[in-house]
Amino acid sequence: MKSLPAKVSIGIFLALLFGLSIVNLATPSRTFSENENRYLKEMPVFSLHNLFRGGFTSDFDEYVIDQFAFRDSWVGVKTTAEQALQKHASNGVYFADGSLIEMFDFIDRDRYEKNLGFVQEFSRRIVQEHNVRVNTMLIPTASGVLTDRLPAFAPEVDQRQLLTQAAETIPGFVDISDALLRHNSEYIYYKTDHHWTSLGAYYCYNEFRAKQSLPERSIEEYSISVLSDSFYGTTWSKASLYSVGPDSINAFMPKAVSASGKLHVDYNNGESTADTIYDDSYLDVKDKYSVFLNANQSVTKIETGVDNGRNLLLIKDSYANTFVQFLLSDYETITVIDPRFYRSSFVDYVGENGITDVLVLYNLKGFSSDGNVYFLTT
Amino acid sequence: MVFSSLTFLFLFFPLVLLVYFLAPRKLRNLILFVFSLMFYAWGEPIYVVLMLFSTVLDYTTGYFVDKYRGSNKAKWALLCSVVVNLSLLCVFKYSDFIIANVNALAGTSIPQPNLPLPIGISFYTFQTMSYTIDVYRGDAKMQRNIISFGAYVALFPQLIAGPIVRFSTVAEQLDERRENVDQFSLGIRRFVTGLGKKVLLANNIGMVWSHFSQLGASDMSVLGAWLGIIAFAFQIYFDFSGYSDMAIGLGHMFGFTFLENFEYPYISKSITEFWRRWHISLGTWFREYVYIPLGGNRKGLGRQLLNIGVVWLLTGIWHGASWNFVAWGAYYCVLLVLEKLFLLRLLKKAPAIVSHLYTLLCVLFGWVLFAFDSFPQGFQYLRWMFGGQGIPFANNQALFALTSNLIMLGILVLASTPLPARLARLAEDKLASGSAILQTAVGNLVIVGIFFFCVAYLVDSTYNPFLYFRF
Repeated sequence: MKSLPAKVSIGIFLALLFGLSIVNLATPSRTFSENENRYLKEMPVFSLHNLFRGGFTSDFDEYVIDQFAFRDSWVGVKTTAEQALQKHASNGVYFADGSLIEMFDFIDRDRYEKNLGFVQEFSRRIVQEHNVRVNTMLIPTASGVLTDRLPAFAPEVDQRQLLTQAAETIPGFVDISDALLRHNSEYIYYKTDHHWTSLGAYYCYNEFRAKQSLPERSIEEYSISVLSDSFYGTTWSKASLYSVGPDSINAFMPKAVSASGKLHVDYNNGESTADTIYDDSYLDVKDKYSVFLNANQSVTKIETGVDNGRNLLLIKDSYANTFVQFLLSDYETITVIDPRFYRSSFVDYVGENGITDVLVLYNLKGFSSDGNVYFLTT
Repeated sequence: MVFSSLTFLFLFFPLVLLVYFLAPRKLRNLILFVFSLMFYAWGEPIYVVLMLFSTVLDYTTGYFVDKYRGSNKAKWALLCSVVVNLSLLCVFKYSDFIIANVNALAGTSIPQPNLPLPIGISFYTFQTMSYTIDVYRGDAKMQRNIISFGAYVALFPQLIAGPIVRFSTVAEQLDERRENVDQFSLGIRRFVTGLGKKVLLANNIGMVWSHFSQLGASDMSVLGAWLGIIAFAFQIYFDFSGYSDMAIGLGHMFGFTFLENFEYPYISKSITEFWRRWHISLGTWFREYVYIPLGGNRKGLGRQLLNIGVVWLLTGIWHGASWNFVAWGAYYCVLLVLEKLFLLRLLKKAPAIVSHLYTLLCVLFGWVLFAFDSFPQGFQYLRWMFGGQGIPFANNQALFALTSNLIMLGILVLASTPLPARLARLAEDKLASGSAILQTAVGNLVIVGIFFFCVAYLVDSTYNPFLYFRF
């Protein structure tokens, strides 16, 4: 009888060990993790060559981790533990007041300054060669705007200072940090994603208009509709804190444009077409932000039905996908190009396609680490 | 393979338990041997041959030492074991280092072979050597069964990061151990405790160190430098002692009793005491096989100091093929000699807080030497700890890391002392006098809880390096 407690302990431990092992063997492999937005490691192919040279065993270890049963829930358990320990961040995401905000604690200044230089050169050449004006907007990320929600001593880079530096370097730069800071108590960034909301984009759009000496557009000019109210984005994938979220995604459609009914969207030169900039098919999957402009396509051409002879070239990353809805009422055509997927001359494009306006729009964090900005100067 | 991986926990471990305990007793050493080879081959498919070679070599030299006991042939066999084992170590661990230094001194340009370090070679060569030496000295009987001997060398619980189990410790257990329920349950506790130390404590605080060790002067502060090296001290202790706990726990499950490897080193009141509590099996090995054979303290103070010097230079270089490890060994040698000469007497008279502080500071400076392969980097870090290069006392980087890890640091400090173990015993006694059911429930809840969180952290792990892979 003396060893009864020992037997109980052994029973519990072995049940746990073998139970989890069997559940794992029985759980079918998943190819793709929506939560992490990436392909999961699958069972590596065994061969002697693979074993001795090809890293079979380390691939196998990764496979076991990636395919572990209830993977997403385990990550949630870890995040909860981290928060219980009063940690202020996990996996590069702050536990901010009511939201999960991506950290921006490191910047490769070299790369940033080079990228500023590329945009500067691009802007000069466009003016010189085609007499077309270029505007540039770099959007600070949430951690540079929602500063009062960050934990104490958050080791953030100074996004304001970076934007000031950009304003001094790039002609036609629109510094929107004040506009966003003025509204930083509003819902201008998602709580569970690294992107900004349509409302955030709206405030910056008016700043962009002011830069062109155009009057402010009232929020009344848009029909606002909820695209989704169950959005869990990228920062939630990194730190699944159950007390935060979900987010809602709103569309801000210019009433005038939808009334005309002439909107036509063409992706990648006829690969597919649509009569809206919102792709509802993404609302059923995890990556709901892609509802704007069908995720990140190489070339998107939008005919707005507006008849004013102005043709915009928008060079951008995913932050601009939210911004495009506001531009619809101002241009006859909008061509959206993502330099990450496009390999022809941007300067020539402006000349050959009757472009009258150029806008470069990135989020500051992405811009400072992007290796493709160089292609603007080609 | 490492214990703190899901592959080990949910594939290898259940499988080896199942096969081992279903098999008849006389097959169990063979099973341990085969599984240990698989365990080793998981990380090192080719180098498993090297370990087998070392096994066969010492089985043979042990055999001859026993057969020709008392004659010169036994001495030759012993010499053969020592020379070949040390040569293996030299070739696979130190060849780059030696050649680089020869090149630097002689101006030659001999190419470095850049051999990857076979995992655990520093541990198993010391173990196989200990066998031949123990048999030679008559401290242990020769092991006739090569399978049992192979199981000793390759024994997966302690194969990769120790403790260094001397043959005389387990000689009898190899053939006559009796696995039992109480020992198995003890083993579970020990293993899960070790897993928790590694996965929940060492890995977490390790991130603080890896953050601060990479910062440049523009982001560094005095507070950050101290926080960084304190984090490293905790990381290396919980990593290494956690691994030893897991090894000892697994040993228990299979009926072995290994000796303890760590006894709360950070509560020491002198460096002499620290080294009695830190990596005990390595200290014992060098004492038994180097220090005492050289004459120890029996041949006068001068000779003793020389012996201490030899042992500590070897201890230093054992930790890695780089000059900073030699310097680290020499650093401790100087401290230990000073303590032996007069410092220890002073420390005994001093208030406890003073001797604690002295010891911890010495150990922290030691870790700076240990952590940086390059001297300039190490010295720069030391300067930062004292505000050199005009760095501020504190900045956001440091304050954020501090506030974010305050509870963790508290847990680490507590876990470095015998207090949790004492509390657990006290609670157990209290509960035992009340209700056995409650006692069992609470004990198991703690173990299951630690295990549960370990799995969560491992599933989420992008960060799971094993520090002691370098040895």
